[in-house]
Amino acid sequence: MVRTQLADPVLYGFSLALSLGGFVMVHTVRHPGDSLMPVGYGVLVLLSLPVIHLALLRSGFRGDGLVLPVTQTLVGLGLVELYRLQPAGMVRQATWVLVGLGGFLLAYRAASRAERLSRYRYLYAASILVLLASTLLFGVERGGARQWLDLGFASFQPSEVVKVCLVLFLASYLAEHHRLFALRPPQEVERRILVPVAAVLGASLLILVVQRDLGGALLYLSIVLGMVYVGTGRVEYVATGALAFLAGAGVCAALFPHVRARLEVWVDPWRDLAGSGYQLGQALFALASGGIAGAGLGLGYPELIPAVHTDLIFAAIGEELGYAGALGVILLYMLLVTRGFRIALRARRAFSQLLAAGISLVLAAQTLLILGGSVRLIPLTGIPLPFVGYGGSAVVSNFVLLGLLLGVSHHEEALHGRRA
Amino acid sequence: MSELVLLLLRYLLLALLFLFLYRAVRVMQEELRGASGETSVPPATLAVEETEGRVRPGQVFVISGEAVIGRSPEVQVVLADEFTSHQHARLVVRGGRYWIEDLGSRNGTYLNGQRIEAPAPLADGDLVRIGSTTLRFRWPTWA
Repeated sequence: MVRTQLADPVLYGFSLALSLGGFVMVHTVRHPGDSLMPVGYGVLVLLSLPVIHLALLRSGFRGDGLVLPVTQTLVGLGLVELYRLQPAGMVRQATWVLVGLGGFLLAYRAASRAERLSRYRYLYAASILVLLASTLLFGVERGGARQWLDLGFASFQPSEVVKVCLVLFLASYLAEHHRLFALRPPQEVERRILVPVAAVLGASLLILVVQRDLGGALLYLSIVLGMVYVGTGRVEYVATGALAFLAGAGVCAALFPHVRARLEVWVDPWRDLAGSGYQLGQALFALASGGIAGAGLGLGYPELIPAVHTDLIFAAIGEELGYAGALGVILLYMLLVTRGFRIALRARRAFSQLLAAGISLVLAAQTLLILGGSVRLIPLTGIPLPFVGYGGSAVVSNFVLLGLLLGVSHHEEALHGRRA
Repeated sequence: MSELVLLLLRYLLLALLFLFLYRAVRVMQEELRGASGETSVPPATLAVEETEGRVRPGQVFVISGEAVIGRSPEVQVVLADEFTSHQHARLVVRGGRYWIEDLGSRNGTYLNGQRIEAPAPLADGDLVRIGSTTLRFRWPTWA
């Protein structure tokens, strides 16, 4: 008997066996004779997901039962590939996963009282403004984009906090105006919708030009356009916003050489393969050399790709696990996003619906932006692959989003006396 | 470790990845099978907000389970409104909630001002327009 709402032991079993097998293979190929401590730590961190799942069930959790196992598989694949690329980085990442799980639990508790969460609308808006402004003023450049804040003891990417605040703000703002769409004349509705869309659009272009952060700009834009579509059901707004951004980006490319350079690498990475096209070129070589079944974990040469552990980990997976492994990873993300939208569909209140749909959108947009960039479908941007790529701020904020999602799921199912 | 063991491990890992995905799909399949039997939901109401037909504003129809809305006297929610088709739209229960579906009506069915092209889920407070009649959907089950 398969029951969704339970922590399915078979699912967790396959997931853990996959990670364990991966660790064994990488260890014997790359680090034979080294201490097994990092592997043990990684496995322990992975085990904490089913433990949390069981603890939630004991406290009466009735929400979705697939989100956590899928996440565990993604995190496991990421840790294995990081262990292969940078064992020390894997240990740091595993610690960030633990921090992220703390954030997950806090967010889960907060979202179990969704009404309260929607009240802090202007706090979210203010945080977004403060974070964006401080990055513009005090941002530190790393890897071509000025998107880091150095706090002295640690540095973090404010864009990761901004994306969480943006989803919360838009869910709350659009839910408040939900009734309006049915009752008021379209002109008034348009004015209310236009304000946040135009604000985010303008901010995105500013980020693109000043911070050189194409990924952030595209991510914010997809969040706002996607959520406006979910909230209003009107394609016109999405089309207008996307066209306006394209036009704005075109003007920026004409005016600013650094934006143009990004686009030129995308159009033709082979022209300057030794220089600006090197990273993307190596990623494409890696993906191509993987073939159907891949070189095998630890048996490829993904370390030739610059920044492979953060932005281009998908190319490393494609090289060592092949087309089959890459396809499997894409299917895992599809599952995760499908479950998110299912939670949104089953929710009855506007804020919960919009929040769940918005979180699914953020996860989908991040995945599509970096996967599309890795295979040269769109320009490459510096977004870590959610739950897989190396990046402390990213993994923590994505776990916070998951906590909110499962909190909404539990709350909505419990209200109606159903099980997901 | 010998080449052979590594080769086996390579394929074993891919097999585990797809076994996981297969199992997840099975779980979802099972869930759909369970949900199709989930037709008992708390009753909802449709209240007439405004109309140009011979329907009394304020009239309330109680819905439990499926209901067809139209001008025909055979249906569960009868609207004497000349802009309404005989069998105009229907409410169905799927996945534990109410959905509205247009039955190929002449003038269409509108949910919160938008014409629906596919079955759409209903939330408490939604406005459904059928012909010249606007109905408010109420489903306050969490109170």
